[in-house]
Amino acid sequence: MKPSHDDVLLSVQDLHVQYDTDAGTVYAVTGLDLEIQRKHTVALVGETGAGKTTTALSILNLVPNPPGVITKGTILLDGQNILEFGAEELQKMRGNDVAMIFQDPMTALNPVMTVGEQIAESIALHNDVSESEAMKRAKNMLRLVGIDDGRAGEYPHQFSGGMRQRVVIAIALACKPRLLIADEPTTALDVTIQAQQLVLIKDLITNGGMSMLLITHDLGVVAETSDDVAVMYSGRIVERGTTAEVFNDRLHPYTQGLFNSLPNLRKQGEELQPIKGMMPNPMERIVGCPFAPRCEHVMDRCLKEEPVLKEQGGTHAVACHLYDDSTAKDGLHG
Amino acid sequence: MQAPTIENTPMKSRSQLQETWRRLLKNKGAIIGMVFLLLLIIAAILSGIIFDYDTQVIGQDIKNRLQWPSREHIFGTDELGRDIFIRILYGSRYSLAIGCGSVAIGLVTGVILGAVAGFYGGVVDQVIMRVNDMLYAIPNIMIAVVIVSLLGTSTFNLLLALTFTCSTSFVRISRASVLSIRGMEYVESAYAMGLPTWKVILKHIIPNSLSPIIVQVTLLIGSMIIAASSLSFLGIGVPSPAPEWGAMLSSGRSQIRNAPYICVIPGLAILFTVLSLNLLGDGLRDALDPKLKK
Repeated sequence: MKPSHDDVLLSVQDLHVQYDTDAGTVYAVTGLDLEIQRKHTVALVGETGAGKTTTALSILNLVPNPPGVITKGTILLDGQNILEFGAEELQKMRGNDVAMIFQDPMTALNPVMTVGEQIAESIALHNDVSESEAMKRAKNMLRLVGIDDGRAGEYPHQFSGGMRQRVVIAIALACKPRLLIADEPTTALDVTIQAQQLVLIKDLITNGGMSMLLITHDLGVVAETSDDVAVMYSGRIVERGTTAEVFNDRLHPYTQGLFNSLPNLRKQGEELQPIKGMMPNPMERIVGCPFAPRCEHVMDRCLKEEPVLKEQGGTHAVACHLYDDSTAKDGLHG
Repeated sequence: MQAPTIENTPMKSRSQLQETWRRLLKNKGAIIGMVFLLLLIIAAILSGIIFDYDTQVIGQDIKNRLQWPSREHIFGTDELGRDIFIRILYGSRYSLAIGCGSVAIGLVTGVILGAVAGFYGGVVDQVIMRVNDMLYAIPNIMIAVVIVSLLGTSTFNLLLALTFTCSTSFVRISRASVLSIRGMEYVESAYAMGLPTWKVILKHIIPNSLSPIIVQVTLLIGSMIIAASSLSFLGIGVPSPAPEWGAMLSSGRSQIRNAPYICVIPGLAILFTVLSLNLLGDGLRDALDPKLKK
């Protein structure tokens, strides 16, 4: 079933982002399409350098410029193209409609401001409230993420990593955004508290009726938290669908490779199969499929023609020539 | 009676400022420096109220010239019979005003220019830094001599000349710290929160780049006091008969064989003031260094 238009909170179409550096142009995002429905969590999966963080920053129109430039595409938030927003509209949108949780809680907090002040700062910015009211709400947020509100007057260095991440979550959710972007929120944390943080974020999102774009390379996290999955490779989406669709029926050779390189309880004793080779250099313009050099099923067509995302029933879509009708007979299931 | 609960007992937490102050108090040198500077500031304020400039500070009394330190004149009198003690106390006004004034103006201009260069980078950075490098390459005293000889000798022109040399080092320091802080995640997160650029700079970048600047302030005040005294010694600083320490030292040179105290006492005044500032600066540098947290 295709979601109706009203259900779509964020729609990214044909996004191109590049970084013009002294050494040359880096094509970070090349024709990315992504949709996030209301109250859904979408996981953006891919390896380091696939362009996940750049995608996230683009949604806030916060790609560092220079050297970053969004060269093409539209990003519609509730039907409004945020790439056409002026400075004031952007400031109103950031934090209020779309908020972001950054990777590293150790550096995401300002060391010379108390945590209470940092949460209140965002509240006071987007709501017309007095300073004391903002601080009151900040303390509420602290309680919500499980920190005693008596600690609002403390500084980040007095908190542990997990606690800091909770503060970062409190800042991001302080203005009840419609979309939360979580950029690898658990990567920098201890394994023992990763799950705890994810449950916390998920609960708050669900209770607040928010959508989330979860950026991660951890497929376990994806399975636990997200409704939909988008697999990213070399600046574009190569496969997307609901979590069940993608996990049960992995279509793209890259997705298959990702899963095969994970340890699995059912395949105990077997060797892990890493994907051979490296992601293509993002400074080169790629002709054909970007995964072709590493793909076991590579065909002549893959080297010449770039595959586009095509739906394979339901919401499951894949960008691979193997599933194109005209070449399907040579493919996996052929 | 209400029993204290976690909710209503204020958590003991120290801000960076309180923490720095606590660590500063552990440093004996810094305390000595602070006490001396405090006395000097009090002397500077009171001497303007107590002493009459025309009669006691610059008024000549030839009958009592060249008297060695005694109960009546505890630092003695100079070649024109003026009480050196009064002149030293009054002279602290010049040294402190020129030192603090030039550093204050240099601080504001230097930090703004450095922050702009570090924050925006590119051509803006190149222009600001290359001009700054040019000024930096010329010895301080030389720039001051040129400016003072162009504009004429006056206390204000001296201050202006020294401002230039202060500014250059503040530009370098603030640019370097803004550069390192600009890339931090909390700055990015402040933008993601929707803060406008000027607020990000004012609330997140500058407060975090202050430590090295604070240290530089104390050390530079000392250098500027020496520079001001040197220029006065050369006769292009504070014009006579004002009791500037460098000028007093210079005027005592002719009597150095029979009344060395005329030179020694202003010299010691300069020495102790600058030493105190350096002790305080060293103490601050240690206290502000997060790696030394105890």
